[in-house]
Amino acid sequence: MKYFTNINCDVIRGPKILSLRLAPVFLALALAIMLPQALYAVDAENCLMCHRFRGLARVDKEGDYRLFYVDETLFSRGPHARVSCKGCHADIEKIPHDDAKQVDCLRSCHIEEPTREIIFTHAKVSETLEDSVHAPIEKDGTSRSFPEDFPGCKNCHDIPLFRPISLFKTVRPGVSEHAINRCLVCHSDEHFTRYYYSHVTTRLHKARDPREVIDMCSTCHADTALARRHKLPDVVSSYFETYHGKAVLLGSSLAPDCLDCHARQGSVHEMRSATDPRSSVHPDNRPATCSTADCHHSATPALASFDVHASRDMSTHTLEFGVGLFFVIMTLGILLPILTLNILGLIRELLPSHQAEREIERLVKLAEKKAALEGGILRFTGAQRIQHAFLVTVFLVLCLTGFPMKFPNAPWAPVVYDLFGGINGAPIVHRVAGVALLVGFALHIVLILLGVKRSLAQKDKLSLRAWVGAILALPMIPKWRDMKDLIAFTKYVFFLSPRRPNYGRFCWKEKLEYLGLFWGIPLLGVTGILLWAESISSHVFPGWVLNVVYLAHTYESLLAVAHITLVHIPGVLGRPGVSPLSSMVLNGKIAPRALAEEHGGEITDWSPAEEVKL
Amino acid sequence: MSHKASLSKKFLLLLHVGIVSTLLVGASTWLTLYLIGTLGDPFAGKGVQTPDPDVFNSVVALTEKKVARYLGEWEFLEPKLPGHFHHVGRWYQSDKWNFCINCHGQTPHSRSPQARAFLNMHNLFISCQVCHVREQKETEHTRFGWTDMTNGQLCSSPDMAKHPWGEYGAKIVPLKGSEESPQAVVLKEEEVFAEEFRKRMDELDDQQKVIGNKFIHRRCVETPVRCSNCHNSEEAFLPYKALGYSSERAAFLMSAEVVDLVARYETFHLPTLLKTDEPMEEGTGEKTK
Repeated sequence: MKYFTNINCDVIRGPKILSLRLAPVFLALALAIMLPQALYAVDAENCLMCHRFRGLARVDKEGDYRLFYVDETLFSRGPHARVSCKGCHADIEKIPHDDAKQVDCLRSCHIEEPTREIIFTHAKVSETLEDSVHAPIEKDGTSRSFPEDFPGCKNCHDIPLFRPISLFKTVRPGVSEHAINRCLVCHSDEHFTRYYYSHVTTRLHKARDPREVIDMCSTCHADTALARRHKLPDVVSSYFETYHGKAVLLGSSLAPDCLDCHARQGSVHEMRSATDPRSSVHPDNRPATCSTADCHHSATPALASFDVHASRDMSTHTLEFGVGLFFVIMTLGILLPILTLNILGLIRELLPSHQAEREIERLVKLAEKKAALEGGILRFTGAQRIQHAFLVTVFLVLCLTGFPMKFPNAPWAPVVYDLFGGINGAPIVHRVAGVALLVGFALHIVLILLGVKRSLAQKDKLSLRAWVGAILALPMIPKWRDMKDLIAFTKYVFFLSPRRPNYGRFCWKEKLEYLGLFWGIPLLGVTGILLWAESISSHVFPGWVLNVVYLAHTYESLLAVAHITLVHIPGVLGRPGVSPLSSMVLNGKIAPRALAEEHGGEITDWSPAEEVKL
Repeated sequence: MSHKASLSKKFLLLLHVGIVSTLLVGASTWLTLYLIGTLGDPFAGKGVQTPDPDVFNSVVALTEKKVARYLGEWEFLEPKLPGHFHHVGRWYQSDKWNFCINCHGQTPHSRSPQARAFLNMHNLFISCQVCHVREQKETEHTRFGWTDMTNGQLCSSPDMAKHPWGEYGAKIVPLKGSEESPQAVVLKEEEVFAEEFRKRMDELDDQQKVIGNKFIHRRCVETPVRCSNCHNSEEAFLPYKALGYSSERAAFLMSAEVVDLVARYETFHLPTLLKTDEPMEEGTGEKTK
């Protein structure tokens, strides 16, 4: 026996310390797991005399790189640790030996199976595989197309490694020292005890992390050429479009991977085609698969019509394609013209017409006089500034907790996500922020309506017609003048007219943004809630509605963020002299020049008497 | 406002408009491409991989391509070797100093089917010149030291117990010069020549290539040091203890267990780096008897 003092690999993450209070326990755990680890492998033949050298390798005449190194530390951390080298490499009879034959994983060469005192073998797996979709030969003995593409043992497996968990009061990764100590009361051999503890607890949850499982399946299923040969859809990228896949990419070890749905019961080798009635993903079996106790247990069978592998291909998923196309056209149809006008507007600022320059200078003087008289020009009230600050905060939180989920493969995604507690915290923060946004939005409407009511009450006009008229007269509601302003602005930036439009209190761009909020917030809110409460949703809608809802949520969120980052922020903070922060959001006062340039119409709307006074 | 101040303001405005416009154009282009890319057959955007020969897989495996293992309480990356069942953990430290590997690679021994992996294993800690180079013909190396694999500088003997087997960050190298100021035996002229040779390979004709190849290997011996020179029960070619090996390890390397192992490879490759006059047995790389 030899103790090994290092892991010999690039460690991404060591033991995760979850609580300072438990730090000493975890430290002991870390030392126990990561540092001195006994080699259980039975190496009576002393194979490691040579095979422990990492350089034991050659390139054979076919050009294949052959490495004969065995990492003792890693080998000792898996269920094969008690199998001798000869247990698998049975053809090796002497040392030095000739080229070893390929190992037959199905041979009866392993350790004794303790419950029945028989020699252990993987032969049973072979029987299961032969009846699976991964068998190169049909049940009637005919060969399937491209039989060489079908996986053998080593295509999916390398030596398994233990993933022990502690089940003592809570579930966390690693060995429970408390449990080990109790085992040791009867089982005095600590190596034996740790080995079996790891072995058993590894079997109490998934033997492999979902990321490893998906990597394994992707080897073939993300291979475009292989998929095309076998007429398979791109199930990998469509899976990563679901919450399941995104959660896995962001570090969830509980989110379902391929095996959770496709091999729900029994051996993972029982992988069958979705058209096979015995398959767990056969349409008849999907409701049961989705509603198992660990998953969507309160969902109705209707949830099963959710297509986990929905793409946006017109030929196979027409509905999803149509919804996607709608949002793509809407997003680009809104943003590109505005962005074009904004960029042209910036260029026009470099080359303004004399008429526009004179007009602005005239308005600036008026505004400066008013500002000097009144100690500044108030544009936004305190209540409006608070609402804006609230919206900014909630929007930022939603972006930071939502966009890592939208782009989970991006290198920044897990970093940002971890700021909000990772996969176990960020989704909760996102949902809370979403609810806060909905509540804030509702309060905003209530405040507006209360203002309208107060105004109507003063005039003693509370009829429905008066209400409608008052609402339509609100400054944020688009008017015919906005269309004329838009046309005038377009002519101005294309150098077709020297007249620069003088916008009123709110310009057409601001009104468009405001209307966007009235479209976007309810849409994102409702779709978000439906996705959040997917099981409850299934009591009202069939699962395929969630496919549409997901698309609406993801596309609309991008539209919202793109509009804010490309139109709103550059339009406000991107103007010369405003960055990094407009004082308007703090004190509500607008600079005279900004007022003249952006809302000159407000100055021209001042009463003649007021203008004379100035 | 002075004319100068006005120009300065115009320039700042131009800069501002230029930067903002460029950012907006870039962002809107990305957005358009991204959104259009979200529609359609996901496989359509992916090129069909060309037939992937095993050789390429092998080469790729030796690059930085790694696979992640997630074991709950710890995670690690390891090289992805196609078809390899055992875990590798990590790749071995590459030799940044030895110029021979530029052409011969890290696993240069390939002729003897039985011994080549063993010989490559020794590459981890023995430099090529120990076995294959003589500064003066007929003059064997007698003094050896360690040289740092990162810079080629002589260094003290590594503490082998603190390193993985054979991976000491240093290699054994023959020494020359006085006892007080030893120097590593290096092929400086050949190294400079080889570097130029590799750069200008395409310009050279066949004859020049042969001559260049001969020059680079001019101090390589036809009969290198053999396994049994070090692993015998009498006197080892390498002075293990002087090189820092423990007494137990030195004894083991000359023990019956190792010596017998070496001896039983009777067909051990007799390296013939430059010999081409004897025909090879087809397929094996072995010389015909």
